[in-house]
Amino acid sequence: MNSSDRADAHPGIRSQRFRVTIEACDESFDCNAGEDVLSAMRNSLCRQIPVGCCNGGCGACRISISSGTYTTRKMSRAVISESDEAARCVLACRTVPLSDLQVRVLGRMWPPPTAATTVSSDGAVATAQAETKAKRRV
Amino acid sequence: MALTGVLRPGHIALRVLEMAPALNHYVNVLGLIETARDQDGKRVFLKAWDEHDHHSVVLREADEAGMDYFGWKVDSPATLKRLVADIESCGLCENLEWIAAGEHPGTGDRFRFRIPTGHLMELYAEKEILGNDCGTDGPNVNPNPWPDDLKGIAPSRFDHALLYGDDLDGTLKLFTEVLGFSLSEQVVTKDNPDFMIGAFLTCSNKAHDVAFIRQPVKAKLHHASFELGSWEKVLRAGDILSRTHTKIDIGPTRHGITRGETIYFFDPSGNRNEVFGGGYIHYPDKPVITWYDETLGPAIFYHDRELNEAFLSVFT
Repeated sequence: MNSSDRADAHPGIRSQRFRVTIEACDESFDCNAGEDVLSAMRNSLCRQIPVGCCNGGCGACRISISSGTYTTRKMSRAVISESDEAARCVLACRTVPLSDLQVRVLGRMWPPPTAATTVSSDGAVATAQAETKAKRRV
Repeated sequence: MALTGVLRPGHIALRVLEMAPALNHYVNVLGLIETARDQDGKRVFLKAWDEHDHHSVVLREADEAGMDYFGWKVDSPATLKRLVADIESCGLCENLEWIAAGEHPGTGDRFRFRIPTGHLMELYAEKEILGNDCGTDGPNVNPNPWPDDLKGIAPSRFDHALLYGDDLDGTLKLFTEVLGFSLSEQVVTKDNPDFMIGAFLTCSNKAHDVAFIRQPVKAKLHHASFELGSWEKVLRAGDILSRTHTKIDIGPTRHGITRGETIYFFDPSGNRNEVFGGGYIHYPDKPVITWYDETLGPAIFYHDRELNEAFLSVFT
């Protein structure tokens, strides 16, 4: 990322910023060049993207990017498949904007697709609880 | 010897997305000690300072975060043989296999099996002793209370893990009826106390050596936990985590279950870690402690009295 390299080399120069806009609510926040989307949101007043492990493992901060360019760091394949990635579905904690972005909040898929076939009637208790929580935070 | 059979957690194998940041976390922030690595660098073996055996944590670079397997040390090769026969005949486990001695450095034959909640478990009897570097006149002779040159949080040992999975009843049956564990605490629904949501299991004098929470998933890791001696050390851990910009999940606070003083945080691949102090001593004749689902909040986080958003939904 050239922009962040420049910022590191010349700390006195104000680094470039990009605007990240959440589509459903039109809230937006600034993201410094080289900073990931979730960290930028946590430094703002916006709370639209669920915060989980912040390290690419849990999938809480899944977003879909409608417009703009970006790079990503490695994300756990348990929560972002190759086809997800190809469809611009990423984890906010591992996504660094290269331009202004328009994003849609997806959040954690619950239950995870790999477990859907193994959900027992017993398991429904936990599922219902988690879905309620997921609805509340969106 | 009163403590026999399965002695204690022996190792946990974790998948990490990138080895370099994982090693920085586990060595410099958490404060484990590297003891070996594969020639190709794919796996790194570590131990906490007060563990005598060769390793207790295995990191493997992979495309997914989470836990590969959890190994238990048993008291002897004869016990290993007996428990393997019991596991083979109980019908509760799948994917039974032997892993040859030496596949983990310094470790004897390991017997691996998949339990009803989907997790891979291992039993083994032998692991090379490296010692805790406290002796002043040879290993374990006239020892100091702790060694020099500890880094970071420096827990004394890998202590337990909390795991998420669907068939809690099957896993509970396996651990209590086949592997000889005791149920120290349980979370049940108040309307139907026979329906268990959480099981805290011990094979020792600890309040728990492993715990399971019923969730509609297979083989998931909630956290891997490491022991600190005191509440003050938990607070110091919080200071180190903040100083190193490590993502803290919650704490320092107290668990109602086990009474442990705790802080949860995430490794650079999103695997949750805990360091904790306190808790009580368990004896096999201690009555089982019961928590109802409606008080799951204080059972997990005694001060906040409610689960944080991440507790149920964030795991690897």
